[in-house]
Amino acid sequence: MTPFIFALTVLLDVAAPRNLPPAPDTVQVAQKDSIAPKDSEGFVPVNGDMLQQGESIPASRLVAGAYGFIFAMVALYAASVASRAKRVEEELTALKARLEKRAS
Amino acid sequence: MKRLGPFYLLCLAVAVIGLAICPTLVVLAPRETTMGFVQKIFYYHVQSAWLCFMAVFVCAGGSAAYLFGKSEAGDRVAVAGGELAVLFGICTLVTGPLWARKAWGAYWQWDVRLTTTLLLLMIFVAYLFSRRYGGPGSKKLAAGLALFGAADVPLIYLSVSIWRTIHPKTTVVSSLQPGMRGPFWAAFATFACLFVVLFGMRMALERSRAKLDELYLAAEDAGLLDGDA
Amino acid sequence: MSVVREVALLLWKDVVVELRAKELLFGTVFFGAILVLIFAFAFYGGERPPVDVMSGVLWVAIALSGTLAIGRAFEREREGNTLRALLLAPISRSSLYLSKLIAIALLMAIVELVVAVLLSFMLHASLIEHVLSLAALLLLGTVGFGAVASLFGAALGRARSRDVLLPLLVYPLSVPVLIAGTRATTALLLGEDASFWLKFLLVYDAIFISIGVWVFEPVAVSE
Repeated sequence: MTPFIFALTVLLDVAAPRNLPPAPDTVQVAQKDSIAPKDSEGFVPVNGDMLQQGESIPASRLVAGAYGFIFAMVALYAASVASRAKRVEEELTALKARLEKRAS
Repeated sequence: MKRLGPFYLLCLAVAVIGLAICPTLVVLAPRETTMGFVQKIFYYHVQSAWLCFMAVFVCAGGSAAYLFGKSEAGDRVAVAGGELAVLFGICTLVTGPLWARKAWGAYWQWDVRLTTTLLLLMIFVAYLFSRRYGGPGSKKLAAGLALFGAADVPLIYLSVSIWRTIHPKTTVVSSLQPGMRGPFWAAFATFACLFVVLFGMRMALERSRAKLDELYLAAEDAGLLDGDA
Repeated sequence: MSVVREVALLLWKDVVVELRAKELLFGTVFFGAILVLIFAFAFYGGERPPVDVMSGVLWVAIALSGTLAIGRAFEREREGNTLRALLLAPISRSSLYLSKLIAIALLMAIVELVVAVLLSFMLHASLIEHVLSLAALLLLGTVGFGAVASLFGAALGRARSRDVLLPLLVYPLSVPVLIAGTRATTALLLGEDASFWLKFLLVYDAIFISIGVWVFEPVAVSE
């Protein structure tokens, strides 16, 4: 369920910007001089020609990658803990059974 | 296995629901003007970083309880915290560079928070290492390492920050646009609950391990294991 | 027995043992010298290497030979089972920790002297002009490094993979020492003010010696 919704939202977002008119802020940035002013945090607003040569990774893929990675890590960790827990529980029940057999 | 408490179940529910709806909320959140779409990584990146630090404190607290209070429960808390610190540390360090690729133009920069998180991660990887391969007394060794590591973080931070820095300041969180706050805190709630759920799972595992060891010892003492071990 | 007297006695014991065997001293000094040589081959391309390289070489040599010395020092205690005897003796654990720390700092002082002299000759580093500040810096840095390393050296005494684990545990924790040390050395070589880093190292030493004294007993003295 979660991966499905996740994939859907990412897909929607990848597809969406192409159909939308440019957001007001991008227009604003484009109209400014090529020397964009830094904001209070020291960031320069991004615009198209600031991308480096060979820079081709779309932001949506980076975002999707980041989310996917966190989901995968958490899922893997949960699975690993669960499998370790299962093994310990099995050993515990086996030991208990053996001890009961011995005691009787 | 022990029956799950209502608090744990609540956290589980919040975590599952949150994981399902958070991507939608985050995608629908307003676009940040300077950084654009890639800023959305931030909703999960910040939470991972917070939880990583949270886990470090949990681990250090558990270690202190184990070292000075001889509390076995403290050791279980510490190992769960140590593993989660590594887990969320990795998440932070992977999502951060993905954002940095767009914002700074390079995956890695020797920025203070990045470097501090990296070293913190290394200390806690060493923590897990020493628990695993430390031989007899490794629990105490690891507990000492956790205390040293927690004390080291401010110093690493200070030294690296004077060395160099370009990371956004923490004021980013308080200066969030109104539309971003909802998704941000929703993600926070999700991750906090996720933390509780994973922590609970790990603690339960450690508890059953302790029970198993106890049972083995008791059986051996009673001479019930001779012959078929 | 007061702590000072205990520390002095234990330190005297370490010094005497080392003066008889001279194994650690020669081994570590020679190792430090070889490191400088290797770095010279790696970085010296005919021109005088940048100042950053000099300070880097100095501190990397300290970190590497320090780990070697600590590992070997506790290995020796373990072989003779003398650590156990020391733990049975009626002395406080803190004095044991402090004496080991001072012993390591003394040994490292000799190594650093050799490394610094070699550096100034072979890589033409102008270390001599700032002898006093540099000595203070090296002392503070070594004590900070030793505070972390001697605790884990002692605690790893029983671990099978202690040779692998010691650097893995010690290096991440002593990164602030390395940063402060290299920055301050560079500043000194460039004739700039290094007092901030000296103060920083003082704080680091104070914090880690306190934690070391505090956790040495439960961490290193188990069973």
